[in-house]
Amino acid sequence: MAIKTKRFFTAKKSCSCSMPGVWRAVAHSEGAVVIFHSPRACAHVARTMDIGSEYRTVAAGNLEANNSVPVVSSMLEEKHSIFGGIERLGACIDFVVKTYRPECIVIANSCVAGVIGDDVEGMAKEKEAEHDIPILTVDCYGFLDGEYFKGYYETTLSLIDRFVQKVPREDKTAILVGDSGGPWINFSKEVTRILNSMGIKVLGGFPGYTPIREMKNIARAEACLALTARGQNHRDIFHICELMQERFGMKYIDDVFPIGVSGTMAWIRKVGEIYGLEEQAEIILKQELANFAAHKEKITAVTRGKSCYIIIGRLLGYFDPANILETAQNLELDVKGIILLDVYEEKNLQVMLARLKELTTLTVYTNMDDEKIINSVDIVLTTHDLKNLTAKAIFIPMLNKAGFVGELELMQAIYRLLCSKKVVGGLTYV
Amino acid sequence: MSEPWGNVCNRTGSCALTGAAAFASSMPGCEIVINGPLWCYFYAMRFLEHNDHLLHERFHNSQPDNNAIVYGSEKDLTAELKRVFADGHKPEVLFIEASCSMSLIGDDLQGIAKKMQIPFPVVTMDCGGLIGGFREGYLKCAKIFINHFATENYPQEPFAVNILGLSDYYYNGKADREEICRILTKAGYKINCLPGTGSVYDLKNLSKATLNIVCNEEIGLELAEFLKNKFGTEYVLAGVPYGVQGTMQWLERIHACLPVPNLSLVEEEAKSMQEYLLAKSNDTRVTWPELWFDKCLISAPGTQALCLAEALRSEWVDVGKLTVICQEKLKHTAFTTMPDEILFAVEDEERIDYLFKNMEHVLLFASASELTRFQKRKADFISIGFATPVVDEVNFTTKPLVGIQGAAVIFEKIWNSYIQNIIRKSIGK
Repeated sequence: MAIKTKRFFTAKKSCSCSMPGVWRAVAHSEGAVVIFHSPRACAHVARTMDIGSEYRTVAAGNLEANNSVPVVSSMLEEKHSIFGGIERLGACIDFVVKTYRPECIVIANSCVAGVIGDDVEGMAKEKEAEHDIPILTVDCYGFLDGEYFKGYYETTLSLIDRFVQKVPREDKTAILVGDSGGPWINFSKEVTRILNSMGIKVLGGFPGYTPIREMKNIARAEACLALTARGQNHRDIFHICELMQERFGMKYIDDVFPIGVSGTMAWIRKVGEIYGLEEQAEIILKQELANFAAHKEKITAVTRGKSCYIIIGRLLGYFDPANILETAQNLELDVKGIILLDVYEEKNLQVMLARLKELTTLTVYTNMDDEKIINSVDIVLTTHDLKNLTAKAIFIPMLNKAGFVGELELMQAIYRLLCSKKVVGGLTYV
Repeated sequence: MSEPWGNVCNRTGSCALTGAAAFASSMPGCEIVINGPLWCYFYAMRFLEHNDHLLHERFHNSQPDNNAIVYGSEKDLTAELKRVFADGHKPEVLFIEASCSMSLIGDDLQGIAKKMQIPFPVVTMDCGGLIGGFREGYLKCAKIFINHFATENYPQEPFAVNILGLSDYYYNGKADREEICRILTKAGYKINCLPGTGSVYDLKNLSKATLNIVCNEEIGLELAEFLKNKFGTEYVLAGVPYGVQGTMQWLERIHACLPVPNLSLVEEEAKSMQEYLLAKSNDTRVTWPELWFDKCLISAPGTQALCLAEALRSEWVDVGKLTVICQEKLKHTAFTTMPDEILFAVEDEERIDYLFKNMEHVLLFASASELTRFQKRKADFISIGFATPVVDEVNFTTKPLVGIQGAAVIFEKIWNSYIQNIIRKSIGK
């Protein structure tokens, strides 16, 4: 019998919901209010995510600078499944206008609204005319026809259409496109640190961290840089950057935010290239690599030659194994093989196998059933919490932290775990 | 305010899917299959597994995709059930609940289960957010289970009581439930049944109780009325026992409806704890200033919040202004005269928003949701986790917050937070 995950689910599509994606696209955009055209509970999920995000920021030693924008649910009930919920939505929009006096309303649609067949777009247009306030909605309904990132992407396109204008350019400036937890945590902070060291000023994060009234000016930035990891929604984010180039002449690079050593090096060079700062980029790289090497030396003194398995159960669309393989290489771990968990549908399994073949000559196990073998290594790097796992284990992050700093944090976590004298097992999150 | 809306960021809540699963999964022999999107399943499980770290072993998901909206979810549900059974699961009862969108497509869950010839009882329910939040899901599920298993009306047994309106999935729920049972048992009551805990077959004995004791109104009162109609059992809305005196008042409310012989045993314990807490706090006062707070805000499930307010002001601390936010509308708020202001989460939205933005020097009993509002604006406050979710403190031990033992726990938490706050301020942090 194959190795089992603690929580079983099949790695197939329809894993998430578009509504939180719609909300995150304007979550900290002052002036916006989000309506979930949904049962009330769907909006509570957004609040739960919000609380999680706030505490992760606090845990990283920071504090979010402002509250997220109001989220109001139209509170669909059973009766609306028979009579339709569109009148309810209209009344909810009136309430939002009266109560919050927003500069923009964004409507996220639930799967229930999709099944009922409410004409949300029609109501949005009607109420927009009545209140003279932009009311945006997207063609996504809960988990139907698209997931979290589709909601995020469609809303972003809508915001660009409505608000962004061509304005005079400010040289050596950038906006960060995408959402990796806001300007308060590693992803944005590290990218900003690197850009600042090259003399580039970050004007802000788009869309979710730009106030509605300032969106018209974001195209003054010389470039838009994607703040996303590969395998998340990177193609959608690239497309947003392309659109900004087409419409407003902004520069962009078709690369995710800097991840790992090779990724960060490539990213710094690309940034240098588009800003005409190639020499500056090489100087920064030299400094960063020297700093990285100094830390690496200390870490590999412990990690070198330690035996390891890499265990994967995520879809390739969400997780590219290239990064963790590079980290293992940086740590000079003795990787005994890669174990694919028994959670894939056949076609997704084949896609992951093909990607691994491109990346490595390591043995890939698709039917590993011997827990003893797994538990015999010094450390396990895994995408899932596993039953009966007693070896030291690191949970491979869904989203790698950015830059050399992020890579060092991951390496240091593995180093510390290998130094640990504890014998009680447990999964370490980074 | 007539509109039912408001900023959900000012309160917390969960789905009926979660509430129903909370009732069902409190019975260890019950396994649950959510027939709905992975996203909904995952959020329900994350909510519940904070209080049951092994829940994932009996909490399953059919993971239908958007095709199910057109073709139905039978294929996905059948596949998941087959996987669960192939894995060797043999539950006492299987509970299949459909999410809101899956409920709308109208799959015959019982029919699907029947086709598979499942060799144990199967309870099914259309659920999801369309029927409401935690409360509505919990109550609907409870009634379905009771109707399914409690079919006989047995003679009532002396001193036998059912306890309604307790959930292990409320904050600190399990430890609180155990303390309530301990006190009632010591007083001479026989705990007949706590619907939603123990074996599912305990439900069949529900009618043997002479009295139903309702603790939290929002998940207990409707059930008590339901059982009164079904079996004729009388009930008392007793509230939640916070504080030493609060516990005795709570017990006296129950005793007035169903007298028991050993009340004095609990009285003795209460007296002894009262003396102990007085001595310990007097000793603490030698060094530290009197427990005074300009303001106190309690935000929690309604009955809990009101009952805590009574104990807080009459037994533990002095407060300039005491405000209570009940997370849902209650019929019964007469447990306390102590609050200066009682607010309800949805209808008093504007006032609540104002308090979150402006309150200073506050003792806060609430969830992480309220706490973040104070934290972000760097307000002067002391917080004690009192409602889910609690993120800023961990609870590995199983100490109750209710009852006589719980009185010491809460009093201790208040003193420690107060002292730590003074120390932080003295060193300029």
